Amino acid sequence: MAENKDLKEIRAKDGASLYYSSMFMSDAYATLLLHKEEGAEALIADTVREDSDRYPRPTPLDVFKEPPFDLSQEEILSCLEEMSSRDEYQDISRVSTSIGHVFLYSTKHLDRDYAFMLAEWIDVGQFENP
Amino acid sequence: MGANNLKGTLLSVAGIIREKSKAGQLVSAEELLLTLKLEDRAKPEGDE
Repeated sequence: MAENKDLKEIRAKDGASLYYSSMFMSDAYATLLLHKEEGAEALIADTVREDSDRYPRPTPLDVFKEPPFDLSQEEILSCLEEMSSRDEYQDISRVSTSIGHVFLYSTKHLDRDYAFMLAEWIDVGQFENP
Repeated sequence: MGANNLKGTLLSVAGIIREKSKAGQLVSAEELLLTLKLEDRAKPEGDE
């Protein structure tokens, strides 16, 4: 029905359907919520892969403490530990900048040197070279 | 189910999805069914 064109379906990895209205939620936000429902590990991995592929840029670890992620430091560290032992997350890697901030990237889309250079620019370089 | 009932159900489904989206939440098919059942039970007698 034409008046319900805002109603959208999004499918989880297990095939389950979830619904939202595009009047109140963007497609990107709905995808992010879906990843959140699928578990924090999947949420982190999919966000990092998308950042590494689309922009490309490494993802600051602290971003997962902010809304809409809202993960605690303990949850993030626990997820990373869990992810390091699972095959499907072996492409998720980390680099630390010269001031000690951790960034995540996907080795499917970025190599380590390039990820480090981008992280260093985001974290340090852009503020020293305005 | 009559045409009026079907239209009413569709309006309810759309309303639930929009309300949830406004609150920043996705809705599953199971949750929709449950909410519709609860709404149906809450209707006064003869209000079908």
